[in-house]
Amino acid sequence: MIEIKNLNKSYQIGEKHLKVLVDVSLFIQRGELVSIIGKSGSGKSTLLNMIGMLDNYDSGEYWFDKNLINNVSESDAAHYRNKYIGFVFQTFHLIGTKSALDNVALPLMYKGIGKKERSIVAEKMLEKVGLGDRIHHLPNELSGGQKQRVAIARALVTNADLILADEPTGALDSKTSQEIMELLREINREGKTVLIVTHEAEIANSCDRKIEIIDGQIVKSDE
Amino acid sequence: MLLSIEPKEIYKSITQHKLRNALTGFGIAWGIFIMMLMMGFGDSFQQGVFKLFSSFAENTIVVWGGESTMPYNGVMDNKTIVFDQDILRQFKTAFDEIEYISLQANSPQSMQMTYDDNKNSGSLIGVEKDFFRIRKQKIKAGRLFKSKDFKEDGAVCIIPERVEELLFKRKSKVIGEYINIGDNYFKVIGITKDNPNINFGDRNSVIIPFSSYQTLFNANTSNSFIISLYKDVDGSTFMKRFEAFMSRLYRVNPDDKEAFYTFSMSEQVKEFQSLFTGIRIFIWFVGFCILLTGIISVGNIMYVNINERTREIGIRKAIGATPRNILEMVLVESVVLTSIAGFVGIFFGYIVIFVIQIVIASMVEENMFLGNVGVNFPVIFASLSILILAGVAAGILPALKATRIRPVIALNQEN
Repeated sequence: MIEIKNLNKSYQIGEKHLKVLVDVSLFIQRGELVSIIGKSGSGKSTLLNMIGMLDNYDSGEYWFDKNLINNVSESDAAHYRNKYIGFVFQTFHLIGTKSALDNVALPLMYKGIGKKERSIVAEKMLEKVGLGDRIHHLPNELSGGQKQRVAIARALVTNADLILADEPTGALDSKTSQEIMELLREINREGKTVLIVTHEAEIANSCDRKIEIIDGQIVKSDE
Repeated sequence: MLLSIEPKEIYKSITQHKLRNALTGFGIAWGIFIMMLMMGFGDSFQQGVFKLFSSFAENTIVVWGGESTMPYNGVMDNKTIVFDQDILRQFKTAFDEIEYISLQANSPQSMQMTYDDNKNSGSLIGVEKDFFRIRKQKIKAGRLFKSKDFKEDGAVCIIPERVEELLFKRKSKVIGEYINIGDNYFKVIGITKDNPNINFGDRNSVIIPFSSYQTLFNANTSNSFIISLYKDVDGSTFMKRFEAFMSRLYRVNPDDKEAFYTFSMSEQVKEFQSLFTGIRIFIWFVGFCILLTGIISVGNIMYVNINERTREIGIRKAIGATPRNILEMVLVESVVLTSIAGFVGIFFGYIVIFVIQIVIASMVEENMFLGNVGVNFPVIFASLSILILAGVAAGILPALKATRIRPVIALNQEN
């Protein structure tokens, strides 16, 4: 599903040229549950942003479903993200003024689905993640675990093939972390490709495959 | 096409910072409010001024005879120019543009008028039957002249209401009474309403048929006449030809400005029309300038709004919002904020104009240079269009800024 060849990314900070990703190559098959582990600043989140088309790379090749993703326009990237990719972030990134239902329904609005239909689909998705009784709650009325479930429902609502989770348990206690991981595994079992970025070995080890990144370079990748 | 923003979202976005948005919207509301008032008064003033001309047919020309002061074909004869019915018939025949024409003979001197012991002095004006087709006189009582008044050489007259007051004091029935003018008795058949704002010194003048005037003064000529042209005739083009014709007919030098004096109502109306066009442009300009400050403050608030919502925009982009969706969202919010403020301005403008209408209605008499202060619906329609454009103008730069927000940076913002 994803093939990356010799990907490079660097940032210019003042006069300093900072290489964040150096000749990164990896291959992820459809239906895999893969973790990318690395320390803070290792470049793992940057790699996830490249895969999620939130950022551009400097050189190399990125193939998504056999399509070369190279300097795509903002609009095309938005269409890709909306249709094929779901994001789960460490700090949830829910819109505070919107209810759980409206947060989950939002990607459907950008997909061009009518209000009634998107409410039905979003409600079903919230029920699926165990929040059927919290649909009208605002994010600040939900616990951390519940917020992350809303975020997962939002990632799934457009029936995306790829779920990108950036430290999905980073802001949660260990019990809730386990629940969230179980939910992500369940999603994977249903056929979604799940890519988790983490710095926690336990989380990384619970995935089918682990990719380790140090100073922007992949140092180890399980087969 | 689905809008990438829901009414609920717009409502939340605007009500989230009520005071801030209210203060910002005030600039727009104030601009529209002031513009409505200025347009209302501008129109009212225009109506008031044009009301002054309403006592004449639109295309009226008055011609007074003077004295020739330049030689004609080398002969200098200081001719006094007067007009008679034959000459007027020649004018009418020569110019198809003339709709009505009438002599307007002023008595050579002021005349003593009496009724019982009441006295007044003023001039007598002898007119032909088309006179009142040109001068649109409002009748207070009685009637204007009929054909028979001219045929029967009847000693009838029409008096202005000022003369009625002076001669008849508070007498209730004036029509049918006789007044003495220069030892002749004239039966009052009509009383005309005064138009005190515009007159040719005829507030004290008694109008009689030209036939009676001829008998009284033993004169067949008049020092002036009055014409009305058909509506579609260009007054100034006509006047050039007409003056040339008169110069030839009277054998006076065409460059002699003292031979004929003319007053063209259409020229006056045109001048006033261009004056009011100027006033209108000025009002729109001032209104636009006031509105501009409102637009700038809305634009500023939209900038603040975008900065505060950078992370939200990043989230929206991450889940699939295109730059166009973001542009649309910001512009719709800006247009809604501007329009709400504008509607408030229109609403209060309407109320204030309504109150002014009532106040002016109780104050305005015919001597005021004001017509009815009204709500000008084309102006409201134009204002609404301006509001939408203003909303777009206010939102476009912040919206473009929002579209350029990079999601990867926005998502890492703390807010």
